[in-house]
Amino acid sequence: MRLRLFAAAAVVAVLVLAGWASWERSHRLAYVSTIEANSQQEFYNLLSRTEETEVALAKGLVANSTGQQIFYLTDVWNKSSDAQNSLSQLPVPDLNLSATRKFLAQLGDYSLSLARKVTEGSPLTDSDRANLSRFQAELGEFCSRLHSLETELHGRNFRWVSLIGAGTTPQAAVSTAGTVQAAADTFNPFSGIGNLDNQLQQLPSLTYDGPFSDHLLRLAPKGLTGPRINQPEARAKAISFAGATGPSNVKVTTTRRNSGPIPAYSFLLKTPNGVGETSVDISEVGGHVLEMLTNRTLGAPQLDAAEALKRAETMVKQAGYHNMTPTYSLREQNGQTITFAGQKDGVIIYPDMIKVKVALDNGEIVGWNATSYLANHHERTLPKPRLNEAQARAKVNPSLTVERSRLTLIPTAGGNEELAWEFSTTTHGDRFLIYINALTGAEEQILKVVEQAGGQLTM
Amino acid sequence: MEDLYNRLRRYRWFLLSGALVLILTAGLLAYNNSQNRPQQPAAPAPEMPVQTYQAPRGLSRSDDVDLLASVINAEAGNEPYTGQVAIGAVILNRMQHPSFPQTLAGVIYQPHAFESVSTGYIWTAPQMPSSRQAAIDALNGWDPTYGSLYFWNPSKPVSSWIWTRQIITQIGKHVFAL
Repeated sequence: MRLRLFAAAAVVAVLVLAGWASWERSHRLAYVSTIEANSQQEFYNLLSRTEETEVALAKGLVANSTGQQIFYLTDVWNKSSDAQNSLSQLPVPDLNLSATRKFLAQLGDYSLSLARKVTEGSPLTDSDRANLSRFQAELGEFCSRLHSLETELHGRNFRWVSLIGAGTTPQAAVSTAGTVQAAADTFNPFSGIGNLDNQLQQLPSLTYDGPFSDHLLRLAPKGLTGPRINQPEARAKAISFAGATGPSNVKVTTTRRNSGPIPAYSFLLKTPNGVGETSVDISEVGGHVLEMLTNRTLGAPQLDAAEALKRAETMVKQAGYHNMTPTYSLREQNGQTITFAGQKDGVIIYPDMIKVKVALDNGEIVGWNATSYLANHHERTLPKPRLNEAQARAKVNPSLTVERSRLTLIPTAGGNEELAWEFSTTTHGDRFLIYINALTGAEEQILKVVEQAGGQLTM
Repeated sequence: MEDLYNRLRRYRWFLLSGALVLILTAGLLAYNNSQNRPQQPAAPAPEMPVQTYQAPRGLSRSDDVDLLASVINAEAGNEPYTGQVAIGAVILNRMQHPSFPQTLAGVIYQPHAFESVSTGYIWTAPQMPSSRQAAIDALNGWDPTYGSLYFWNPSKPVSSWIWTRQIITQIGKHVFAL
């Protein structure tokens, strides 16, 4: 009796277990298939988008009308961005494809900058065409390697999921791991792509008016003036700056050096009562305060935005920056961040930017950021506007209501500066900033101002 | 009492296997219930009449703050505050660099880019109140790393390639590099 009962129970247990296991397996298969399908989709998308980029580029090169040139150049940007996105999402381990990704991003960015140029009335030059042809040749090479990779992967019934966890330890922030791992014993279908990446690393650098132009990667700061200072001098500056912004009698707990584009000393300061920490970065050249941030929990607001603005303005003057104008203000988590722009002969200089963060609970300055100012500020000779306000206003879409206008110097995507009339306009309750080039009359930029609970965002 | 004990002893196998079956069935059911059934795609919205200007609504960057704060939290939750802002800055710097994806989600979910995403820790890490503030400061332009694109913990095993990058600084446990 006992034995029979036991046997019955055991059979039931085994059946339940088997059922559970097969159910688990089918679910696991569903997950694995989903991941595999995603990776395959990204790979095939990469291949077709790369082909479409090549075709659009070829058409753009033979197009004779500016309309068609603009259309195909914009299409190159669209298709290559999508290709770059798909390439980034492929789970290829231990393979450095950063030059390939850069190639695709720069190709799109360059094409877009040319499209913009053609829109503004300048035709493509011979050197533009030569650059596009060079891109086209490299793209063709990339495309044919992708095709042979596809043939190989398809022929071998390759599974992308086999790369997941297969001898790859994900490393923090290491997205590209230097060398191609050409392990002789394992099948490596990616070596062709890896070799191409090495080839693409050798491409000459390209300078143009776009955010991915190579010259922007090694831009030297223009605003660092004054003699080089040593660490004790920097330390004294940090303490006096922190004393001016918040509680006095602070103590330096940590000191480190920054060897970036702007070499600096960084100090971590603690107040005697231990409420929060303040980090202050002082540039080695000139001893300017680059950044300051205080970490403490900000309490319920006691100040309003106008009061916070007054504190920030006082701070900016105290730090020795005169002629600064507040441009934007944003409240987040009981802190008000106010953006200031430089001013010269009544012209707003947007690249000379300083941000100040005010604690709304007690009015302390809890953040300072003058990196943009110190990177961009220099003695400028502003050109005389060729268009007056009325002439520029005539270029603004007539359905917009202009509320305010002023002359500004705005940064372009490629790091240049343009003198432009800024029109603050509204339509249907929405606010837009329209920038009309004061020399050429071109509509340079349109910014949309998004009203938030405690300020504005521009998009 | 003696009687009950003996009876339990006699049927112990039966009781034990019964309990096992019950537990397995309950577990199976609970697991099954926890799985979401695939949703039917929503019907496409009916076409809107043509308008000259439609004001965009619902623009906000709270999604960026959420996403950035969760990576900062998982990668540097126990780091000094500057180190937390620094992680956010590295992610935002990548968006501006041609070698990386051009969107915030693209950078964060890039395969093998962040350990906390590969291990799933990004979704389970205990929330630190400072990570949200750090995300906001990074989005507002604070960058203690001055343009760094990489960070790593030198006490953990990392690829030797990473040491060939130009090191900018070290904040807390992390080294930051271009």
